[in-house]
Amino acid sequence: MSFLQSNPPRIGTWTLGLVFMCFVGCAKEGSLGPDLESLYGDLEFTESFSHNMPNGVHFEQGDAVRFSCGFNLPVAYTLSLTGQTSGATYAFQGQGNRELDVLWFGGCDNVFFRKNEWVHCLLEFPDHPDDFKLDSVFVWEQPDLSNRGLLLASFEETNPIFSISSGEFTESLDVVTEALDAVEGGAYMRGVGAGAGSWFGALRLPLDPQDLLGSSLGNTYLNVHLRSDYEGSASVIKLFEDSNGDGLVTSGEDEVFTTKLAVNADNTWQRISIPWSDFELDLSGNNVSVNGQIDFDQISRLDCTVSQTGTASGTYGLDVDYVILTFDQPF
Amino acid sequence: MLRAWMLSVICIPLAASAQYPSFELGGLARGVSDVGFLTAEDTLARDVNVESHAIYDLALRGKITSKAEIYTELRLGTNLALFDTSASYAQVRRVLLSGQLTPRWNYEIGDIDVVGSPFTIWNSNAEGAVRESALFSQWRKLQNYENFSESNSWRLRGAKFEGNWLMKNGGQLKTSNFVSRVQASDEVLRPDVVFMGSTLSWEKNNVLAALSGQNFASLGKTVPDGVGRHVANLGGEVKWKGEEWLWHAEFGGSTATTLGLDGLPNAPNSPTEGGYWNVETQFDFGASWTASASARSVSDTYMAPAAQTKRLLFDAAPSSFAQIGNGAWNRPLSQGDLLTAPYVPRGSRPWNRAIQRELMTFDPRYGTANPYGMATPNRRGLEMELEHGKAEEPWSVIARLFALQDLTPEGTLTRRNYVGYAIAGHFDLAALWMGNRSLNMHGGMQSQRAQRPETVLDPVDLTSSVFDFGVDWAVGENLQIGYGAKRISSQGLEYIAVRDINFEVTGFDRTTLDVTDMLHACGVIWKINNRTELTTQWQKWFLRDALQGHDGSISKVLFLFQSKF
Repeated sequence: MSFLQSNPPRIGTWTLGLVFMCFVGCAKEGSLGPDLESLYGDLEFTESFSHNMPNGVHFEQGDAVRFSCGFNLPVAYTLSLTGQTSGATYAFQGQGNRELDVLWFGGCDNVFFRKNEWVHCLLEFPDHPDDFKLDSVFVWEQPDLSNRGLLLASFEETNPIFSISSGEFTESLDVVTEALDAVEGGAYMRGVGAGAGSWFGALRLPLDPQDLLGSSLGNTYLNVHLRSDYEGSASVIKLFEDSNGDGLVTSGEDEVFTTKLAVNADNTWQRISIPWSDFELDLSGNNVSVNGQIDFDQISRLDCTVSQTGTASGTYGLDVDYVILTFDQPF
Repeated sequence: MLRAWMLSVICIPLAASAQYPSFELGGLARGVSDVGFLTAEDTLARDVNVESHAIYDLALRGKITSKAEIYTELRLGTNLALFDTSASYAQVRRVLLSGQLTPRWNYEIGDIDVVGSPFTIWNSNAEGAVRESALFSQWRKLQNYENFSESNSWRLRGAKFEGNWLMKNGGQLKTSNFVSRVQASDEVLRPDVVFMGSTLSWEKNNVLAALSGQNFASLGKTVPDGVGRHVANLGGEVKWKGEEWLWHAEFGGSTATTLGLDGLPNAPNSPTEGGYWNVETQFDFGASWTASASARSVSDTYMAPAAQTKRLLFDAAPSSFAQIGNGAWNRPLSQGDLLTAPYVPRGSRPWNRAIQRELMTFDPRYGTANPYGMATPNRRGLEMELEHGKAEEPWSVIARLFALQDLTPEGTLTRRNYVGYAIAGHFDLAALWMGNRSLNMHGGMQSQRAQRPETVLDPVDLTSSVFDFGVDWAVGENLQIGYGAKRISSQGLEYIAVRDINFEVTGFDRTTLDVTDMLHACGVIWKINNRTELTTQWQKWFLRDALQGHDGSISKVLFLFQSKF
């Protein structure tokens, strides 16, 4: 053990030794993992961004628009569609494995795309903000999206099931037809009232419990399109049960559930989607509590009431269009 | 019943000794209140968040016979939220039976502490602190205590046996062996996982040589149709210590069952193998200076579950005000969240206790050079350190410098380079004048930078830094006023390797950061007696993510009462 008791080497020798040791290791040939350039290199387009409807899309005929593009990287993309007159938008987001191939059936994120409308299509890549592509497609007709749920009223029906009901504070309550500004089709309901009341008329929509079989509070959504030009306007949505099973909705005998939707006074259509779990037992006026719960097998009617957010005296009103129930997700 | 028991605990003497059995009682009492406030601009989220708890840890050490000693820590706690017993709980924090089997063999059974080297079994320190203020460090100690991470050892449940033999030539032979059940089988899908290890060392004069092995094994037979999986490590070390010099070399390797995407062993199975080595030297000079230098290399597939498992869960959400900026910012964990994470029995918190095979998520804001400590796969390089003085001396300083590199390039043919430094120290200004009112300044700064030039890609260039500063002024014999500041920042771009369960790089996450967290604390520490203190402090956190355009601030008022007995 005498070598262990001798003086250690000088510090310079140690340092040189350590530096040398640094290059002794189990380094592998080549590189680890996929080639970074194939993931995050310069984005190049191998196929131009285009769609298959150069003469416009006829959604009424069941057409769909197929967008396609080819590029050299597996990149994340966003394809944004914007209606030039309606302001409607729709977006596809995904991770393209060197290609984009998506179908558009006329879906919309907020309000409907209109007929005879140019839709701008913008393809963007979040990791490559300088690389984007533009195209446009002409929409000849609006798509029929009623298969997404249970359509209650679009005001285009020849034999409508809805009715409208006015009261002492109602100034006007009508279905406006041949309207170019309808959010869907060419008709909608307009209601205006004045005074210090909170009920200026209502759209009454009968419901058949058979249509609600299998649904639940959390997965049933009411989707309604509203527009107003009157500050403080709101729509009170009322859900009526036939709690005693007598075939009638009778105040003081049957339960009512309510939720209130405030409407922006910007004269712009907005889609409001609410789950039925938002409805609360309404004990105002003569209303009663039977079991305090929404019973799907006793649902009888749904009212969209023209109302106000408070109780102040004034003029209030709103437009209602395309009321549809959807299940599992909002419209 | 509980009251009677408490009375008996208070009334019995704190230590009663006899030959056998003899008992000692000790413990800790703590009360905590944490009140958080959002700024007035935040109106959507909850504006006030209140957390509180009180705990009493009673430690009992009983020497029953010469062969058996028990140690238990019993916890009684309440969240201080309700004036009834539903918010109170009792639990056992630790049970340990130990003793001497024979004159040469000792044993421990129960909650054992196991530690090896930074390459084999090591509970690495949490990121984000360089000699931080006492106001922050008292909460870090609290969290380390709560999460059994007060040292670099892992708290495991199992048994440990240690042997010691004196040889005729003056040498000493030691062995330490442990086995722990890391995961219990559910007898359906989840198998039993055991972690076992053994060390054999020989020491004579100033020379030590040791061999060690560990196996992190998943026992396939504990579930139907299960197949065993292993991560086995074998290593050795040699150490020589002279009067002024210390020389230490360590080397080892791992072999692991290669697993498929379904988590089952590939068939036929060729194991995943990796290795490491580390050489370091240390020498003392001058009055109290110590310098050290080391070189190391860790291969990309070297697996050491007990050294690469992180102490923190960075993918956890903050426990309070997880969304700020009027609900627009799902903010990540900040240092403030880590320090003030509430203690909830069996609740989730961002502190990890479970050793695992997979590499855990890390937060790149703390740098990408050493996210898994010295056992970080695919690194090689040099480290140097210079140290002077201890905490009890008038001043001390410690400086560290490292230069690392990818052992094998990742994703390109060029290696990333990492350089970093850390400097920390303290100075008692009272040393400049007569008197006993200390004015202690301490702090530190650490910074690291990862770089890799690129021709086509955006180059890797990520800078991360941690700054700590604290002042403690003893205004009275028992009263101390303190201020602390902490700044964590990171800017730049990095491609973070995504590794599968076999440590194979399967992809990269492109990460760009421009984040800054600034924390201020000021408070008063009242030392009621040698073992009891009360601290009240106010903290303000300023959090900013410039790339996403988010910022916000959170205020905290913290009360901490601690008494050790």
